[in-house]
Amino acid sequence: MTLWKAELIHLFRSWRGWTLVGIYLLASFLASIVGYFIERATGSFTHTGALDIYIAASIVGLLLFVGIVVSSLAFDSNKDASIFLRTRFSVKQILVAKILVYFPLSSALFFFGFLLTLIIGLLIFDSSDPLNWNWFMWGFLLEIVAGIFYVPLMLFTSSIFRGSVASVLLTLAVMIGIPAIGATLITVELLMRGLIETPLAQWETVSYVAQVLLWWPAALSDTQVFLTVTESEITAGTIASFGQTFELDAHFRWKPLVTTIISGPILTLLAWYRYSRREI
Amino acid sequence: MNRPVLEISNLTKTYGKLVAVAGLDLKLHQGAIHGLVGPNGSGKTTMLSIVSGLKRKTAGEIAFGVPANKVMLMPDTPDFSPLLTVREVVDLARYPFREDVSVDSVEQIIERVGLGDSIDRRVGGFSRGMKQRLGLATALIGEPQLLLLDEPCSALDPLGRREMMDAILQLKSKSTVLFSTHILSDVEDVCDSVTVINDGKALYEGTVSGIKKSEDQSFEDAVLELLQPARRTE
Repeated sequence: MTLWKAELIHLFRSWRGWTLVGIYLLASFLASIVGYFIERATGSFTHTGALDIYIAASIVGLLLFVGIVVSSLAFDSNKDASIFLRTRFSVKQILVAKILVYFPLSSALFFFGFLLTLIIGLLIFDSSDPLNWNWFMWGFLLEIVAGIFYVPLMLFTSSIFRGSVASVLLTLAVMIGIPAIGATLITVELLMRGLIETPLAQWETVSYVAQVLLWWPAALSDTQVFLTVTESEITAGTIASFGQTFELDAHFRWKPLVTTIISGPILTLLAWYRYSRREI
Repeated sequence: MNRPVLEISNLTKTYGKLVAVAGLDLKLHQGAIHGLVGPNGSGKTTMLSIVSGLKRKTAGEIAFGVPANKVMLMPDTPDFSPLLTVREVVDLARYPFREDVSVDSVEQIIERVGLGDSIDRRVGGFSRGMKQRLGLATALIGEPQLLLLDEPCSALDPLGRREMMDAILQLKSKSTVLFSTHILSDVEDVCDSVTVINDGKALYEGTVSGIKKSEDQSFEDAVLELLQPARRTE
């Protein structure tokens, strides 16, 4: 028995792992069903449209994943169970085992659902405008990098408090709170400047708050749009996602990529400092 | 004489102004069974936590005569992932020692602590007594050379307590044992030496028989007299 096997048992002998699998399957199913009804109503729906719906619906899986991972990283919340681990394994071994189980699993589940939706979409929806695999691979790489940022972020937020509930709440507050507060501030700023009629896609170039928020590492997740770039979008030089049209630019979201690369090691070091100094 | 298995000098632990352990000294040689006796909050658990590396000392020195991974602590209320079975928990505890300890030892240890019938049961729902037995199994699987037991019998029935004491006595040839307890008769039964502590200070350290003021005095009375000096005048 190893630590990573024990972690997998912790996931799949309980509701945690199966609910996570279920949510990604449900997101794929939802994308197909919604696409089916849109096609019946409008007569046309593309397989990339289904993938866009899947990406949006899978956010629920991400939030559940955050809760499961952070509560697992808060292993000191049960002092007696923690003593069993801490007297046999180093903090480094414990954390590495958890990271190596949860983060690849999260990406694997996301792309499993993506692949399932793609296959269903190719079978039942309009696939005359195919995906471009070069852009997909670029999006895939950025998705992995964005996922890697969540490792130090969750390590850090989990290291602040000993209790799992406080850690989960702090993580969700950071992940949801910052974009939510940012969106409110952008709206208030544009109202104050009389620019509220600006098209949504241009807010990030018009609003000062939005320009600052573009440095927030989690904004790198916006590059998920690269996963569904089609040949016609390449020809047009633009990409459409949920009614918004963006210029197709490989350097889109380079700012959060820079802050991800810088902040990741810093957050990891801070988390390590707190974990390694914590007494039981 | 051989190097002591454990040598503690002037061990001190403070939390702000609160002094949990105040300058404790202790020297344990190979094969010794040493009892740590004192009321609740006297600093026994803190001392064992510092020795096992779970807490940092404020001052003092701790020197081990055995490898660090051969020092094992069994807390008073051991707990484990409730989804793992007894076999899996003990096998996980074996993992750091997998080079030296064979997988066959897992079943043997589980039988030895009296959990053979529950070997493939999940730990969730176990009573505190069963968790203490499992805690002992996880501590023994690594063949520790210094075993720190924090009130190992606090949740055990009389039979379990007897088995725990027998297990401690059997360890004598291979390990050194430092255990804290409230049950003074256990100390008298199995310990070679004892430290009585109160408010983080050692009131007595020596042989079990040496604490008695007279032939007639019981070990329990001698300990209580140390802890409550007022009893002496009664």
